[in-house]
Amino acid sequence: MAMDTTETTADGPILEVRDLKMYFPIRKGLLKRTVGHVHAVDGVNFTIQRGETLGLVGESGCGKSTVGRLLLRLYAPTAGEALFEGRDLMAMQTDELNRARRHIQIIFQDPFASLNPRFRVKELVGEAYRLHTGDKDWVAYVADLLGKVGLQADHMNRYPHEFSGGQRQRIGIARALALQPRLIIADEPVSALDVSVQAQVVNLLDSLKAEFGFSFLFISHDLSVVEHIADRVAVMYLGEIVETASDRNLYQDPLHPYTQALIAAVPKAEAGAKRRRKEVVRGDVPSPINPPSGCRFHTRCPRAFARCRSERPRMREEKPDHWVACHLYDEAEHG
Amino acid sequence: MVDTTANGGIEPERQDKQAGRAPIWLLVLRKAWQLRMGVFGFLLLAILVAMALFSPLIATHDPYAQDILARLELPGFLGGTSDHWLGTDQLGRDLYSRIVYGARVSLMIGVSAVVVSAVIGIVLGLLAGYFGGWIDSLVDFSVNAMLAFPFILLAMTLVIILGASAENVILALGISNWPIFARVTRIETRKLREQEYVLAALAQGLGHLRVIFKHIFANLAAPLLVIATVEIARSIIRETFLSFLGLGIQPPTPSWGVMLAEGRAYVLTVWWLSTLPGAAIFLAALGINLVGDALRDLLDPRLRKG
Repeated sequence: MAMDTTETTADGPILEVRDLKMYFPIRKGLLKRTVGHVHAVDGVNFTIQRGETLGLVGESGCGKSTVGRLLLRLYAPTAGEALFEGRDLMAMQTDELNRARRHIQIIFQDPFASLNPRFRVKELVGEAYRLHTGDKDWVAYVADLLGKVGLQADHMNRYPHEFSGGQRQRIGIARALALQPRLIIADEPVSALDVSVQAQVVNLLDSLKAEFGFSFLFISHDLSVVEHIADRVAVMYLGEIVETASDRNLYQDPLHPYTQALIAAVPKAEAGAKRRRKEVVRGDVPSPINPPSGCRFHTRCPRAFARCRSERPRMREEKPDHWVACHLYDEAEHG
Repeated sequence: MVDTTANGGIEPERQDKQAGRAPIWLLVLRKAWQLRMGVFGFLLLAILVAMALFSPLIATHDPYAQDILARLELPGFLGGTSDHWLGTDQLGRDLYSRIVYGARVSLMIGVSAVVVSAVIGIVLGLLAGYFGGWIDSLVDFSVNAMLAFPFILLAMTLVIILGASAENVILALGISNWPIFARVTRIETRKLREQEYVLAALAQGLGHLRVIFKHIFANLAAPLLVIATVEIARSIIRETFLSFLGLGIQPPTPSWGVMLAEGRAYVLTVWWLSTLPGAAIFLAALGINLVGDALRDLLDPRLRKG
């Protein structure tokens, strides 16, 4: 396994995202004139420590998948930096980027769209490994990997359509692992699966993380899945991160009204679970083409006041390692 | 179109393990049997190919041999008594043998012209759809400009500039027909470019060439094959058109279009002279189109299931 590991720097966070922005242009008419922008990601900051699992949660359309894809430069960002082991992914040239990409891998949501239908399993999993390392024994390597993700070596010559959704997702996981990445981005890896299969795949990811020691960005709309797997959680709303905290702090003491509403909406299965007063969020997510002024959540926030409409709240450390962007806590401090 | 999500949501455990196993030719034949028109098409195509490949064995006479004393003989089915069962033309050449050799010309030109236009169109379409930007704008504009131009005028102009010969007819037909391939390739490539398996390949640091050929083109081959089939039929018709106008294959080479043109002078009296090559053109184009239809049904995963 002659993987290239020379670029490792020992300390510091594995990933540091600073003010990342992605505006997709909306083009209309014969001349493809840009008539507006979708503010998919609008100034996102977060850090992933080595070996840590960061959960990125939010409703659909909040830009969390775009963040994941931006980190691999599958889109060209509008602005911002993403320092992977100290070097800015967003500023890299093609060759350097392709080398860096081997250390960052992605697992996609849709297990049907994420596997090339013309490839056999061994090519799906081993293609990049074989090309990057020139390993003659790549088939044995793939067989070994398949075993680790709970498939059998004799699945190797089959095509993706012969597998179930859960099995396909395992193939996708094996593909991501094949390059022995130091960071894995999982973009809703289980939300397309049956509930019974979800737990298996989440547990598999958890144990693989222990075995391979990669850092992990876990993107999901499902708070209960994230609670299970994440060390820290970042909550995203309409292109911005509104709250970041450790797993425990966030679930037990959510600060931002949006986070509170999200957590209140998670159904509890335990018998005799305390009925919390549900602060259900009203309405739909506003359009990211013309996002609301001030705090983007003010149109749906049950506790919004005048200042929320005009001034954009900044991230502040309200409690140790518990960051929130909400004017409610400025009030508490100043008044 | 290769629609990988046609099977809808997630099925817990699919058992149809045979689906990917049967060899493709068997599936083709099976589907062809289901579609009787497909069988008919394959039969016509087989005859056409056999005529082209084994012309010397199938023909009864030398297609160039003139017999001035046996001009315009009646075919057998009209009471002719000579050994020319489809009669002879105005120079006493055996009509049947000329039609057989004509298949060779038609098929050769039809296939070659499609190869030329497919290569140009697919390469441009892949580049435009994959890279986008100014390449995309340029290809898109060229495609629209070419499609707005009357095809036959363009082909005629090219042949007049290049000179009338088999090679130049192929070139002219190929050059004027690439937009069909470019348009389909470009749009399908744009769709596949956003597919997660393509993004995954890029995320693995694979080069553009590999992604374009192994991950995009490989998934485009099926719909393009269907288009190519139908375009062969159209190219055959266009070759006869050019030859009929005297801009294509030159006499005495037996081309169906040339024969059609030569028979025109006699159409009121010796009608079969132009009607029989015309029927050959019709049947060849029909056969290839039917095969194209069968291929399309076969390669569409939604229809394959039924």
